[in-house]
Parts: sequence; structure tokens; C-alpha cells
Amino acid sequence: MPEENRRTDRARREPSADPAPLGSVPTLDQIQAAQQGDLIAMGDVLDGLMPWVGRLCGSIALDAGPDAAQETLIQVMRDLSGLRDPAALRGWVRRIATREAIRHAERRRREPLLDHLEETERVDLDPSLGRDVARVLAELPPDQRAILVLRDLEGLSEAEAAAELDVARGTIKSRLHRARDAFRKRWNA
Amino acid sequence: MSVPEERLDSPIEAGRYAWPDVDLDPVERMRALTAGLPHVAADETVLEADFDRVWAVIEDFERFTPRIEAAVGRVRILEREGERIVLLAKGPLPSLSPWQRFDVVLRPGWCLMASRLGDIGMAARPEGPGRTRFFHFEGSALFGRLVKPLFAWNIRQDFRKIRGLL
Repeated sequence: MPEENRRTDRARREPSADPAPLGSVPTLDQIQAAQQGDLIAMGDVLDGLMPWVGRLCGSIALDAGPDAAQETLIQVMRDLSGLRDPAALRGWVRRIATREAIRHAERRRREPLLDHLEETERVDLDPSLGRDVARVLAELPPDQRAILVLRDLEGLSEAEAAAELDVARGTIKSRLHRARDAFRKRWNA
Repeated sequence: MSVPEERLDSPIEAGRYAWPDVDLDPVERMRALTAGLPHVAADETVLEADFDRVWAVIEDFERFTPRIEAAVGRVRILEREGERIVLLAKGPLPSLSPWQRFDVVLRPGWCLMASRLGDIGMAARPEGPGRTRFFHFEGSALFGRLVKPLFAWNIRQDFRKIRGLL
């Protein structure tokens, strides 16, 4: 699919006001029906996951968030029938979303900085605080944004976040410390 | 939600107010959904008409679906509750074809239709002034991937007929 088509007219929501899980979490019945190819149930699962995936990818990948979110949902829908434990959907999706968000953010980071900033401006997270948070996050590397999202937004333990990012627990601890410190300094600058 | 005046001093606190967020439009969502439907053919096009005009044709099943789908002669809405609709469709030779039930989810820019025999999806989004991107899939899990080329051909016919109705 042409890249320009994938990136046109994308809507970005107002900043999230509530850190609790977004969207309606798909029920086990919906997940199982979707796994068996029930089209309506597949749509329900997609609808239920979208707000949450949008916030994970938006917070980690920022302006590359829409690409990361779409790639995440493509993988989820493609591989859903093979998920052995439907109750594990959320963790499975989180892992895909985190990985895709970091990958897209790293790729975007290699693009010219000017384009990046201009696009961040167009993200239109105004009024006020949303844009500021996005700008502060934009100054952190994607792996630090990911750990902030997993620990502070998703509420994962250090062990869970380490497993999610496939790094040692000690690495998570130091990375989180650096990320929080960097965020705080930039936020209060 | 009002934003506090005082400075926030941790990402946790900042996150209570404003984690960046993104959304996908209906076409992007339906492209993702299609990844889980190996039996369907999918295609998309740009129609030279406003989104509202396009969607008025798509969502008026009883009036327009028989004029778009050659395999459909008549459509009747059986139930409607919010976005959920149950409709019955007959083939082009009403006396020879039984009513077929479709479960439908319909909202602006998004339509899923599922029956025992097949799956249909349509999505649309504005694409500049007076233009609309339109995505469409059709297929049958019952008949599998072998008949995908037939559905692909049918989708192109649908595009042509929809253009004729705009």
C-alpha cells in the first residue's frame, strides 16, 4: 500500500485524560468467536483494542504512532486465530504494540529532525498540556518512552516490563531511572 | 478536563492528564481487519464525491444494494438497534432464492456484513474536497480462497456501479 495513502488524513485524538485502560476490553466470547473467523466479532475485538493500542503507540512512537498502530492491528488480526489462550490477549497485544512502536519510532528518528518537529507541531495535541507532554517525550529516546509507558501508564512491574521489552530487570531499573529523571528535568526546564 | 496551573513534576502525574494518543480512520482499520480474513478479496479506490454522498448510497441497503450487487434482488431490514442491524437479502430471481440473513454493523464510514455464506466490508474516509477513499472486501469462508478472483472482479463491478449512483 502506498506510504502516502497510509499517512493521509489520520486523526489524532485529544490527549487522554484517563490513565485507566481505554476502550471496551473484548470479552472472552468475542475473542473466541473472532478466532473462529466470525466477522462481526473480529470487528468488535478491533474496536475494543483501538483506543488502547492508539495510546500505547501514540505515547511511544509519537508522530510515527499511526503507522505503529496500524502495523500492530494488522499483526493482531492476522495472528489472532493462533493465540492459544484468549485470556492472554491483552499482554500479547501490548507486546506487539510496544515492539512496533519502538521500531517505528527508531525509524522515524533517523529521518530529518526538521520534518519530525514540523510533524509534531501538526499533531495538534493542543490545548496546552498534551502538546507539552508530547514535546517532552519527543526528546527522550524511544526505549525510554517505552519504559515510561509500560511502568507509569500500563502499571507493569519491573519484572513484567523487563519481559515485555526482552531486557534484564536491572536494565529496566536503570533505564526507568534515567527516563524519569530526563522527563522531570525537561518538563520543569 | 481542566489542566492544572501548577507544574507537574513526574511523568506519572503528567500522564494522568495527557499521554499522546492516535486513532486510525475507518479505511485504515478495515485494512487491518482484512489481514485476518485470508478468504476475502479487497480493493480500494477514490470516488469523486463527498463522503456524505458516498455513504448515503452505501448505508441505504434497501434502495441501493440491489442496484450495486448483481447477486442481490431485494433487501429488507429486519431489526435495527444502534449500530447493529439484521437484514434479509434475496437473489435477483426472488421466487427461486431464499431469504439470506446478514448481521450488520453500520456507522459512518464503516460497514461489516456477515452471512452464513459470505463476509462483506466497506469503509470510507474523506480524501480532500469532493473526494472519498473507499475500501471494499468480499469473500466466502465456505468457498475459500479459490473463488477470490471472482470476488475481486465483483468488487471492481461494485466500484463502477457505485460511481454511477453518485
